[in-house]
This record gives sequence, structure tokens and C-alpha cells, in this order.
Amino acid sequence: MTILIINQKGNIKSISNMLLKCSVNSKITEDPSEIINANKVILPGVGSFDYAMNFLKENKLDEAIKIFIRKKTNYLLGICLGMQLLFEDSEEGVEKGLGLIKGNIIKFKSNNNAFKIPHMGWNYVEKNSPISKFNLIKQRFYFAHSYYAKIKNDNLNSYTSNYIEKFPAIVEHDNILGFQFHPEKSHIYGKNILNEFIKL
Amino acid sequence: MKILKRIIPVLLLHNDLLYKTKKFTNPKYIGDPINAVKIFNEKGADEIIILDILASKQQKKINFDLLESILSECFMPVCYGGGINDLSTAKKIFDIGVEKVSIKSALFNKNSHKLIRDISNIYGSQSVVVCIDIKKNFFGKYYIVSNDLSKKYNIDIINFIKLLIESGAGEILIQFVDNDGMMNGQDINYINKISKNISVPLISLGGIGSEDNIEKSFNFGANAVAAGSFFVFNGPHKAVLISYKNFLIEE
Repeated sequence: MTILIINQKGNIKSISNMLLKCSVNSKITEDPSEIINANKVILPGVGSFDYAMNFLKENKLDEAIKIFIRKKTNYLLGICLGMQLLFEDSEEGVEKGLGLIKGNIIKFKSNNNAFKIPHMGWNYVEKNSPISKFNLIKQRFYFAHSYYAKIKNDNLNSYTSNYIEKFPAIVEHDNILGFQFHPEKSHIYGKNILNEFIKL
Repeated sequence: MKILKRIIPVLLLHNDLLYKTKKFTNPKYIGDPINAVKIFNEKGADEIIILDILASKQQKKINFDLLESILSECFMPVCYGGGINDLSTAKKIFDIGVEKVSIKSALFNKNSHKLIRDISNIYGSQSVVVCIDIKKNFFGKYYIVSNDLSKKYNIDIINFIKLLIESGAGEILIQFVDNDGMMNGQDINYINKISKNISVPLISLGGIGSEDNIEKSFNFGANAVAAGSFFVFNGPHKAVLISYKNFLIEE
């Protein structure tokens, strides 16, 4: 099996490095037809919401992703900003998101510099919904983000993490999955969850 | 809510080999960087910072091949600093798989704010670290100093940092030159002063010699503590032995 990684003109090498560690080949692509026919696609996210959305649109990748997920037997995984792109819109920009999951991306707010933003570092995730494809017990992952998802349907938020307030760490909507953390930079914990994704 | 604070090993590259300095001078040979990073990776380090201490000083080319070999077996976040003075160099570093670039010498170039803005627009502010070397003089006044300690910048440090954050810096790495390699603890009052005044995470580097030192820096406002000697030297004779443990994490 080869997992496709949607090119984001940025730091995505670490994802293919980790997949290689999981003994899976990956291919970085920006070809819509290749994506439509794939089995598993990873949508990383680099930079700002608008920058990433514009890149997807310019390359007709937004349409390709929407056609891809209709098949339902395949899987799309958004990582970090890539997860945020799955939602409707973001306080970070003016562009519309992919709108595959209902909800909005909002910014962490902190008074008096008590909590630093970005939320940067390791944090635990906790189960939020009884239905999940992942089985995580007291796992921690590496986060680096200033924005988080306000999801409409809480049942789609399988795991939460906590920084200033509870926020979605993992979202799951049928074959559309999103990780707010970076599994590719989360040592054995990241490797384990990517292995679970590979086995789906 | 329990926040896991990061403890970060710092590796200094000097002609592609690892060295450790004292007060920014007397580089002592430590070993091979690929092997060292591999060990830190196996020990589950929270993150790693690699600084080339000659790259900007000697206008030396960054050894991208070496960085790439280091990165291929590195499943933790990596910050690289040294010789990044334009967007295209930063881009090459990110392409290799580095998460964060640390900008230091270029902070005093004319277009420094544009560089930070450009990198953060494309890669996000979480990927831009600004590194500031601080020295205290005889009268207790703090200065930013250049790499080779030849230049002192007499500016309002807090304000300088705030403007960099406004331009897009997502993390501040403060390096205490006087404490470098001394393993006697960090300047906790100064950590506190900076931390209270900034909105982004603060990493403090220089002077860590014990877990107690690390805890103190955290208590005074550091969001992450970085150290060199503490992770590479062992025992009273300072034998080279790489070790790592984040004592705050129970598993």
C-alpha cells in the first residue's frame, strides 16, 4: 500500500519519514486524479489557513478531496492545520474551508500572558466519544497550534486535549479523520496511531 | 489541567561535529551529531535544538546533507539555527523535515522583520523561533550580544522581543551567555521578567546543571527549558555520556 500525502509546499518530509518507519511507502502528490483513486490520503497543513486553502484550490485539490471521500471505503487524514481545513471556516483567514465537518476554527484566547500561544509541546488526549477507530489509553502527542476546532456535533470529537479549555485532538466523521497534533513528531505514540490508521 | 513542560537538549554543531562551549568560548569536542540525535530520539526527548555555532560567523554553507541524515531518524520536533538569513535558506531547511528555524544573527539585518513575517506567513508562526543571547554587565544591566561577543546592542530587550512577536515570531529562545556551560542554574529573575511580558512560549537556555535548576526555571515562567552540558556530561570529571529524561512525565 502507498499512502498519498497531499503536497503543501512545506514541511511534509517528516510525515513520509514516519510512514517509512511504519514500513509503509508514501508519495507526495499534487495531482487531483491520483488523489481521487487513492486508498488513503494524508492532508498535512503548513502555514496559514488561507495560504493552504488557496494552494488546494489553485491545484483543484479541494475538488479532488471532495470526490475522494464520497467513496467511503477509503480514508482522509488531516494533520494539524490539515485537520482545521476540514472545517467550514477559520478566524485565521477569510477563505472558506473544505467544509467536510461542521464547525469553525477559532483562536486560543489568554489573558495576561498566563497561557502562551501557540499551544506548543506535549499534551495528553482523553476519550470524548464512545465511538472511535483508535484505541488510546493515556497517550500524549506533540501539539503546535494557535487555533482549534469548535465542532458542531460533539459525537464526532473522539478525543479531546486540554489547553486553556478542552478542544478536539481527534475528529472522526466516517472516513474523514483529523489529528490536531503531529503524529509524525510524537515518537512511539505517533508511530502507534499512524499504524492504526494504516491498518484501517 | 496538567501542562507538560518541555525539556530540550541543545546540540552545538562546529564544523559538522558536536561541541560544547563555556560562556560561548572553549569549544570542547563531544562526538558525532547523527549518533547523538539518535540517542536522544531513542530516549524520547521532548524536542531537540541544533545550533550551528559557525554557520553565520564564517558565512559557512549549511551542511544540508548532514541535517538530512540527522532528520531521517528523528521522530521528535527539531529546531535548527545557524546561518539562516533569507527565506530561501529557511525553505531548504523546512524541506529537509525541520519544524522550526531559529533566527539570531539575521535579527540585526535591515530586513529582519520582513524575513520573520515571510517565514511565518508561509510556514506558520509556530515554526519561527527567535534566539537572543543575553549578557549581564558589572552593573547588572542586560545586553543582547552578538555570536562572537564582539558586539553589544544597547536596546530595550523586552520591546525588541515584542516587535519580533508582532512580526510573527512564535517562540523566544533566550540564551544566558554568562551561564553557558557553567551548570549553576539560570537567571530566574530575568526569565520571570521576560515571561510576564510576552504572549508566546519562552525557552530558556544556559546554565542548567540539575533537575532542580530546571524546575526553578519552570517555576519562574519558562515554558520550556533547554540545556547542553546537563545532557552530555556525566559525573565530577565531566565524562561525555548522553542521557535524557523528562522527570515531569510519569509513565
